[in-house]
Amino acid sequence: MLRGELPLLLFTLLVQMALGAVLLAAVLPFRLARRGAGAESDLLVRRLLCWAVPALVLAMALSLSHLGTPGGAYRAIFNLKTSWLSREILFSGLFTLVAMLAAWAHWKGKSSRVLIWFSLLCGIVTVYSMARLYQMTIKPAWMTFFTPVSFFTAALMLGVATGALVLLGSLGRGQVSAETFGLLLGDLVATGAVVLVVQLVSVPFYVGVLSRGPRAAQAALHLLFGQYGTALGGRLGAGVLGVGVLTCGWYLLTRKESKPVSVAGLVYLSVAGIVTAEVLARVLFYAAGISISVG
Amino acid sequence: MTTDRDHTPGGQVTRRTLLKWGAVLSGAAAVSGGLELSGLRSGTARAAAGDKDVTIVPSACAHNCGGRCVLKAHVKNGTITAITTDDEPDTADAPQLRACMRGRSYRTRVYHPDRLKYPMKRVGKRGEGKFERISWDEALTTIAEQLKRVKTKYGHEAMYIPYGTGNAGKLSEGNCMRRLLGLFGGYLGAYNNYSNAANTYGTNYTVGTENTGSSREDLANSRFIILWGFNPAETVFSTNTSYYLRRAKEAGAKIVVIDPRYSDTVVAFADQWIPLRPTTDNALINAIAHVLITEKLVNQAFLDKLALGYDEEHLPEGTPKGSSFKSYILGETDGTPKSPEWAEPITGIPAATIRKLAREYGAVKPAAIVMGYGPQRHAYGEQPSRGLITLQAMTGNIGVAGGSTGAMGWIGYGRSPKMGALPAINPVKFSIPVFLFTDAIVRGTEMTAADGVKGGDRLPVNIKLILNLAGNALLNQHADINKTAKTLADESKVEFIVVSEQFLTPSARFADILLPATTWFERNDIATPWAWGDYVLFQNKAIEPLHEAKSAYDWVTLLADKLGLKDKFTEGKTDEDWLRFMVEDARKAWPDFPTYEGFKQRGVYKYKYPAPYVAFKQQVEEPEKFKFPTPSGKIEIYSPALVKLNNPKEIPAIPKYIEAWEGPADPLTAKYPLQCIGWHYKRRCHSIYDNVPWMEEAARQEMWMNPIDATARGISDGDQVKVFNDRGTMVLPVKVTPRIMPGVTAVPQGAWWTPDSQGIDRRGSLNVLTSQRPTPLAKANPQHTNLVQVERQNAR
Amino acid sequence: MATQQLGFHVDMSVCLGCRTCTIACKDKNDLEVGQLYRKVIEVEGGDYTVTGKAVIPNVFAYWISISCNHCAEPRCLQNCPTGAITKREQDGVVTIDQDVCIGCRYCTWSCPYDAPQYNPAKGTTGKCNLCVDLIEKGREPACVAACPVRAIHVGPIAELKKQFGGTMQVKSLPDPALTKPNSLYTPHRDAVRGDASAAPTARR
Ligand SMILES: Nc1nc2c(c(=O)[nH]1)N[C@H]1C(S)=C(S)[C@@H](COP(=O)(O)OP(=O)(O)OC[C@H]3O[C@@H](n4cnc5c(=O)[nH]c(N)nc54)[C@H](O)[C@@H]3O)O[C@H]1N2
Ligand SMILES: Nc1nc2c(c(=O)[nH]1)N[C@H]1C(S)=C(S)[C@@H](COP(=O)(O)OP(=O)(O)OC[C@H]3O[C@@H](n4cnc5c(=O)[nH]c(N)nc54)[C@H](O)[C@@H]3O)O[C@H]1N2
Ligand code: SF4
Ligand code: SF4
Ligand code: SF4
Ligand code: SF4
Ligand code: SF4
Ligand SMILES: [Mo]
Repeated sequence: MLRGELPLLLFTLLVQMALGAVLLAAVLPFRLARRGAGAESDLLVRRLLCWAVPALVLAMALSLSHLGTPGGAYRAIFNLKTSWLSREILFSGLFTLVAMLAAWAHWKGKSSRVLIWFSLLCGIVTVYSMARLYQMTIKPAWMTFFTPVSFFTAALMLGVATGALVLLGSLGRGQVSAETFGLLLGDLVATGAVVLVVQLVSVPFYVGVLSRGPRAAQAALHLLFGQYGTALGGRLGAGVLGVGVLTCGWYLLTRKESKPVSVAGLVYLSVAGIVTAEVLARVLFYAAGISISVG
Repeated sequence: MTTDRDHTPGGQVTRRTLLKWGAVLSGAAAVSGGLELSGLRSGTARAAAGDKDVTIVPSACAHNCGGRCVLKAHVKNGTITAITTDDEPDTADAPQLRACMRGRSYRTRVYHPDRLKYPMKRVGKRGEGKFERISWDEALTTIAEQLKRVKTKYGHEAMYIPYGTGNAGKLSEGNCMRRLLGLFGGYLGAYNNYSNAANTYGTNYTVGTENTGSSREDLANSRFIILWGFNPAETVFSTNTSYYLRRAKEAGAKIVVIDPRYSDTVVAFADQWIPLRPTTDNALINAIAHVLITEKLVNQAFLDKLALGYDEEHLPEGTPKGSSFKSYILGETDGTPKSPEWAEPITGIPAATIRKLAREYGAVKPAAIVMGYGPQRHAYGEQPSRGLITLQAMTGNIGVAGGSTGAMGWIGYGRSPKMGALPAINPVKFSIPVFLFTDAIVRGTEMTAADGVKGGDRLPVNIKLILNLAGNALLNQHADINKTAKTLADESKVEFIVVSEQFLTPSARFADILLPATTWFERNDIATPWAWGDYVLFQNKAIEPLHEAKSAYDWVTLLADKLGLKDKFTEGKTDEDWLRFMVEDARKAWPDFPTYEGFKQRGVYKYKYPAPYVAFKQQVEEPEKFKFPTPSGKIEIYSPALVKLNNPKEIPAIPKYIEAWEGPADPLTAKYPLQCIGWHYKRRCHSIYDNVPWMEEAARQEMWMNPIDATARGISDGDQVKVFNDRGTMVLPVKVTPRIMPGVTAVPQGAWWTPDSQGIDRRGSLNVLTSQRPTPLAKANPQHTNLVQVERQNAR
Repeated sequence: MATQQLGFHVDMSVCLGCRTCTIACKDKNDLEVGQLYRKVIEVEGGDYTVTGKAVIPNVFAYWISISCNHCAEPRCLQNCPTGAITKREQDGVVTIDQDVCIGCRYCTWSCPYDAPQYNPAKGTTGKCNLCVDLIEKGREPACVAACPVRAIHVGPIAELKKQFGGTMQVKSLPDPALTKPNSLYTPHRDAVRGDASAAPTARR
């Protein structure tokens, strides 16, 4: 299951990361508007789009590479009526296109706000379709509430990580003030913490659902706690570590008035933690994809 | 040759629209097994409607696979693009001769990239597998020279054609070569086979013939059927046997299977499975007899009339007291009654199970016991056949509809049309049991009647020249591969080995000259049923021989020329002339046998008897008029002829349980605690198809092991395991399954021996573990009798 | 609703597990190793009681010969993004148009019976089409005509039901409510639903 599906696995993560980044790009100007930090906001939005667009392009390329007949990829949107995959593909295409347009407009100095919001909408629909399409399979581990929860929380978490990186980068070049940095880092910490709690709380519910499920669901559980036990532990640990370290960084920043740059190490560590957690989460998700078919 | 049209005489494809289906379905009489229900013609054409350039050529599948079926080649531009099977009407009376998965995969075997493409001569050490391409002319010149050399130096008794059953056609390499060598002056003959030699001796000494079988249609008349080490779901045992079993089951027979494995036959047909430790069948037979006697379920009148030596009253005159079967069972001489309690620790079957089986078997009439050859491919393989005939005699089930003779045997030969054959006479009178050919290489001149030598006191010479034709029993299918390989590699022993093959098999690696053979799709020939079956098949040449492959008749004719025997060999006939000659021969006795052309075009001739054949019906119904073909004219439960052989321990006068060497009670179990049997696997015909990927996908080479034995060794399903005894070692994947009883393992026989640098077989070729020690009476192959140990093998 | 839904009936109770149906199908459809339009699954389980030297078996095993079931609610079709999968109006046969399929393999994630088989060489996915090409020529599908014990039947599913009865409620097959498959099984003695024997092992 795992090895053959690597392109798809990366596709989901990249799209979700892009969604997180675009979401930040959409809300950030509001957060900074009251402070009159228009230039900073512009810069951060641009940087975020600079992460989102290549991620999307890469994701689209990966999804093409997964096809047996890439030349026919356009036909993948022929069954919007009933296929969530069709919808996902249509909207991921739109998402990519609109995000590119937004980035281009932004670059040209034109107003990109509508485009960003439109692309955000596309992104949300994409990830929603993505979740539905996994739910529509015959793999009990994918057919639960857990799929949308993990996809959207992944988007947020990866958004937090991207945001933190962008902030740090901009701070390093003196393009954002320490104040803005602190403010936004605080927001990211808060988001990360809430999302982490959602993720942690969803796990026992997920286990509960699977344990009541058919044989394939039990087999998935068996895998998750057996062969993939370490990965599961790692995934949870890394998530907690990522958010925890980010919180520490933010705490140091606020309390000790230490130089913002000195928290850089912590931010990197946190990003590493979050990314590791989400990648592992996705690996586990794929590994648990045991079909109800026999033999 | 027909194109994609109906083959039914006078028939047309009835094109039914789908809408008519309802009517067709509900209107059709529900023939047992649901034949012809859909209103669609069975038999498939792969060719789409537009494919006009596809020609469908009828042929037949004819290895020694247990069946013999119709195969139709769909040929397009000289290439086979699909294979289908019998598409004549499928009726309960004349069921189609449907091919199994092996036949259906044949296309991939014909076009296998490893097909031998041209003649080759050995360049490395013998057995190393290094060859160099040569011309047919060079190959045949070499063979002719060697034949002449060996003839002068050692005589004709030094030439040998080993057992080899790859080509079951009338014009096979073996048949052609036997004719040629006969004309040349002869060769060391062989008798027996690897299939049923022990059984044949058992039946011959008991009922005087090996033709003990009844028609399979008659199974439907049985109320109770014991399939005794019989697994036709895999072994086929003649095309449609499983179908007849289905009919018997549907007719209401209770079916019990006795087999250490929960075989595919158990899955499909058994109401009850009784696993027993291999080699202990006669202990179970004895215990059943004990219950029959003690519970008065014996048909004494039948025995009194028809059997010799069942009880003291019916022993031949002058026989010591207490020699009868009944005395033995009741323990009157040895003090050990052969009760179910006695049999329980030997067989592993609870006494209560045995008692229940015996009561049911004794009470329900008619009852059939159908024995496979598995129980007799053992150390004392002569005994089960004799014991089972005895049981059927005790219950009066011989010679009655729905009964059976107990031991397996061919259906009376009189029932099949006598096809002519390629005439062959062997001037050499000496012959050996096939299983002892390696002995005849090493110590032939020491071999006497005690080793089964026939035709003279002692072999005049060891085997010096071997023509191994369409066989893998030179090595792979013979017992104790490691020992055989050493023998064959020694060029001072056998001085010249010719192999005719389609692939570089383990045997072929030992060739000095290697000849590429055709497949049946590349030649014309005639094939008859494996055992049962009222039909004859024609194999039409569908494509030209691939590469430089030559059909037997062609290259043996060329060889005959080099020996100056061409005219004698061919009598001026082509291969088709000979086939025509055979058909004409058949037509003499069977007036409605079709003409050669008609037969060839249809590809099959099916005939029908008014009633099922019941073996020994006449002997049982009119014993005064018809005698069993034994010396006494009776069923010889006690055989005076066996007494004369003067080896009462191993060749008793009555059927007995004899503790097998390498059986479950052998002290060797301390070292090698697991029994290891083989079986004939559905995905192979012996070693054939081992290299066909579709077949490996369908049923991979793996050893069966019970979870109890696996757990004790830390082995889990799918692990690579090492299986070994003093004769050899193999590594293969294990299937941990409750489908085999504890204490027993099973490796499907026939995988290609694939030794690594340390001589460990990496494929799971059972014969690295088997022994060359023959059975005492028949000198047969006990290849299911093995003790082994199994260990987990760490990843390679 | 198809005019006259076609489907299969398989008599598991006499199936040999010989896999002739599988290979006849592979030959007809030219399927490389790894692709099985009709497969025969081995299900087995049970254990032994060992008392002294006697062993008492409590073992079961059965075969499930299965292909695409041309479902009434084919999830493969619903999910296929290209519309390559269609259900034929006249007979309800579900087929994959090889000229439309792009080899995304989503159908292989959607079918409870593992019927669609990806063909890496062609870059598309194929599956059982009930041999409609043969049926239209008045011939039985390859697998049906191959079975040595005549255990597979094809026909209008309603007629098959009348003729043979049968069910999709077979132990270890997925819940038929998911896709409403048009196949019927005469269950093997050990494959009757609700039988509480030990968890079976299924092998392909
Ligand atoms: N698929 C396939 N079919 C074949 C062949 C083939 O190679 N492949 N070969 C054909 C040929 S040439 C022959 S001779 C026949 C061989 O036919 P058989 O000799 O009958 O076949 P085997 O599989 O060796 O044995 C039959 C059964 O006996 C069981 N058995 C083993 N030892 C014992 C024992 O001690 N007691 C009892 N009661 N049962 C035991 C095995 O588990 C097996 O299920 O098959 C023919 N059919
Ligand atoms: N351990 C163990 N060993 C056994 C058995 C067992 O149960 N257990 N069973 C025994 C039995 S019953 C038998 S019958 C023997 C079978 O022993 P063999 O008859 O030697 O066995 P096959 O593997 O069928 O070998 C036939 C060979 O002929 C080749 N061949 C096929 N068609 C043609 C052709 O048209 N022309 C030529 N030139 N070659 C062709 C095939 O490639 C194959 O290598 O094995 C015996 N060996
Ligand atoms: S291998 Fe034997 S049973 Fe199978 S198709 Fe060929 S002849 Fe028939
Ligand atoms: S069995 Fe699977 S592939 Fe066939 S129609 Fe049903 S869901 Fe689709
Ligand atoms: S692989 Fe082909 S048939 Fe299957 S879902 Fe994708 S496009 Fe449709
Ligand atoms: S109907 Fe045709 S395609 Fe379908 S499983 Fe049978 S042989 Fe294969
Ligand atoms: S061909 Fe018939 S008996 Fe053989 S596995 Fe298929 S359904 Fe079962
Ligand atoms: Mo045999």
